[in-house]
Amino acid sequence: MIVGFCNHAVEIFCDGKKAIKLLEFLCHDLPQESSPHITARFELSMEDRAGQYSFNKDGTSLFTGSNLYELAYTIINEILYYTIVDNSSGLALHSAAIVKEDVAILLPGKSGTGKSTLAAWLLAQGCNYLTDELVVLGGSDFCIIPFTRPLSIKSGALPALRQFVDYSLEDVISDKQGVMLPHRMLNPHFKPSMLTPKIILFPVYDAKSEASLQEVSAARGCAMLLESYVNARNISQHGIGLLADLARSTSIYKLQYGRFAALPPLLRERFPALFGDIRK
Amino acid sequence: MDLSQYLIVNKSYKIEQFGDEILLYAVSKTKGIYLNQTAYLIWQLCEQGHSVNTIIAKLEGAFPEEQQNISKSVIATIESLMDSGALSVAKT
Repeated sequence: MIVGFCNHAVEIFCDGKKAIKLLEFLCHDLPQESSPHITARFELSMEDRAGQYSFNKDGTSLFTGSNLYELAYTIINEILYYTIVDNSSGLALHSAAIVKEDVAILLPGKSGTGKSTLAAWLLAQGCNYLTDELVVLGGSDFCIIPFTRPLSIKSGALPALRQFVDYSLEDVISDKQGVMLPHRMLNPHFKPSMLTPKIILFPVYDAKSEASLQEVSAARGCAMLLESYVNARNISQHGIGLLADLARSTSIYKLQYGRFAALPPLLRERFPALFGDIRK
Repeated sequence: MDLSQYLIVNKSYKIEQFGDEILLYAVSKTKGIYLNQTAYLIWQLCEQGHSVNTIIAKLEGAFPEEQQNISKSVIATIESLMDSGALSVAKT
């Protein structure tokens, strides 16, 4: 099976239906490209009678064990790494991305900043999903090419999200660390789209803080974007000028929150055309 | 801080200008340092090879109404830039 995005892909040799089913769960919404550049090859084995799964690259074991969540997590991270590591198709940012009323919104941040959790909540409010992990911004108009995968929600965020999504364990891949949740469970309307980002929200989760939405200048926004920028070495002049242009051409905010209930008034007030209908 | 010391700017840091704001960045680190106009003036004076004392004196001359705060502000900015690796002390 060949999976990837942005003209780069990996080939994964599967030993049976279980492995194919898992890859379909993880990669169902990644684009099918006609002749992508294959950057790595893996073997995925899930038919072992003792229930041991294995995931190897060139004979080297990347995962062995019976934990499906850990296996899935390893696979999706390897796919992401090998499709981005030498990719120069555009600026790659660690960022979630959603669409509301045809306006694309980026939610950049390193792991642990709450971008997947905020994206999940926004989907439950009617936004359309693009990704919870990474975008490539291509061309001079920064067209979003999303790495569309199931949402990866850490266990700590699940209690707050459970009121917005009802799922059974059969529909997701989970363990005590978290859950991989198909995005259609939060919003069944999925419309792949390649839009230019108009708004950038940097999520900052802080359980003890008051919620706030502060506009950030282009210079400060560019400094923040640099921290989420993952493929600088592949881009001419490290792409800093492009990143600066992105910062200049979008509205940038820092969104600090500790609970979802505080978000609707902030979003309604700042973006009435987009979030005027958001739940109280 | 020894105010008589001279500073060396790290040549791997580049400037990106956003109106009256500046982003100082090192391409190798993909890390940016935000500079307001005053901080950018300090950076430029460091580039020109002035000592900390001279930088303070020049800014006090240019902004006499801010004289009381300038020394503290210059030292804080220089220390911050040194912590980021953008500036270092020149060997005498």
